[in-house]
Amino acid sequence: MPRPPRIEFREVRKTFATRSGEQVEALGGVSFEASQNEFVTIVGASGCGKSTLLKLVAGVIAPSAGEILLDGRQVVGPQPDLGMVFQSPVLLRWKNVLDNVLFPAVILGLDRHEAHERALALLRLVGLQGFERKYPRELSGGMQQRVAICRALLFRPSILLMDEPFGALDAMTREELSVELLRIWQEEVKTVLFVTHSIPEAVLLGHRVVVITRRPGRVAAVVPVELPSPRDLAMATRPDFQACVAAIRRQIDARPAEDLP
Amino acid sequence: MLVIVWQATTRLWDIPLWLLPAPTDIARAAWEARETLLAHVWVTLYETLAGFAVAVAVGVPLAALLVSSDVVWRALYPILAAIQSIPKTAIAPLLLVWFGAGEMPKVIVAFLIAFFPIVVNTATGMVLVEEDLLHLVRSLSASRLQVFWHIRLPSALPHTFGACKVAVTLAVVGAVIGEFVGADSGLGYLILVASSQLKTDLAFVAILLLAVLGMVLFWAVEAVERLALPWCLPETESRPVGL
Repeated sequence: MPRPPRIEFREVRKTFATRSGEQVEALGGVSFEASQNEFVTIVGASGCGKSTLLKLVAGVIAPSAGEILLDGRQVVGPQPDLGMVFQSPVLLRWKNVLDNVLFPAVILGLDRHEAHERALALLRLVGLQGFERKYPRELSGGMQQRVAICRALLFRPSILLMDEPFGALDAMTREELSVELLRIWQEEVKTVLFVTHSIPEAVLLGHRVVVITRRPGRVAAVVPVELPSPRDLAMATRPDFQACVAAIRRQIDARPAEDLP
Repeated sequence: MLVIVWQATTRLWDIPLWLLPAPTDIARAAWEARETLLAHVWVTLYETLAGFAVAVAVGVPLAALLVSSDVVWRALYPILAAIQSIPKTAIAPLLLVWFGAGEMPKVIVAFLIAFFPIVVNTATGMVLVEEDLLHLVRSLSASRLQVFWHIRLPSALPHTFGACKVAVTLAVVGAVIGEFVGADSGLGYLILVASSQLKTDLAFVAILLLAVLGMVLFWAVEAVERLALPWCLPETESRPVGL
């Protein structure tokens, strides 16, 4: 019997009530899946509900209709086995770098010694050794985001949810961190859902790119990326990379899938 | 400069001592009364600190209670605002009736005047937490207590300290108001007695000491803040270059 997919969205809808009481449909029936150790990128215009998808998987908000399955089991609350990275680093300003990385261990009550070793190893992995005692405001934006990535990886979650993690960074830092993320992913293979509004970033990182339409968000297409691994920035000039980017751009501009003939 | 002009003016026009004493007269009065002055300073300092300490001890938990639920907020906030709107000078005589002439009424006035900024600012700090940070801790299945202890309380502390700097100087005002209404010691009492006897130089001494007291307390809170919140100090060194 085949394994169930790691993450599965089934006809997920989400409607928010705005402050004025208006109902806004963020997601209008989203279905797709991510298999074990797959790097799936989700791309779409801003406000299409991409971030909502991740919060639904994390179980911090509930869908209005449909269901989200992790390993075949429905998500009904916060999930223990996943790490989250947001657009802003959301570090604790009052803790130093090391304690920020260790924060999940404090909340989850993990073994302090083991977590400590792990945190130091992760900070080395992202090139932040020597910065353990610095406070977040003493770091640049890119460094802060690396700390946030370390924090998400601390307890070895098998799923990583990333919500435009490089969206607030400048273009160069962005590229550098993308490459670094690929390296980390190679060392610690896990299932990744990576939300972005940058199509080249989605193509560079993803095995498959899920294209979401404008609000209400629906899956316009799932585009497989046939680039060899390991990926690097030089691939952005390859014709197949360019073709993939062009195909995705067409999908974003197109009408929702069900309106097509 | 101000002191020199002041000194010259009083000498030049021969202003009587009871109207405007020269700085040298004030210094002489301070020196002559140095022992009793110290006693008065201690009384006012004690009343101020006691009122301020209670204000912090009540204010921070009250702020936590306020932000704990919408219902509590809506029930308590108007009451707090109403209490704040009552002029403290108006209730000081009542407190004297209820608690006698001792230090208690002064401590209570100092407390009443100091606790409002602490509650309001601490509560604001507790509410102003990044939404994604709350998503993060929720994804870790953190309990409400953990969220409060690890997130809301520390993020409120800079606001609380800011309020404390205002509150501690207000507490001095509160203690003096209490002393004005009825007391047998303290700097407020001294001002009252000295001006009724036209010892204007002594009243000036007391006023100056109040100013010094307020400033010292303000700096003391700032020093504690610097020790307690090293992460929110103004940057002294520039950010590292690069990523």
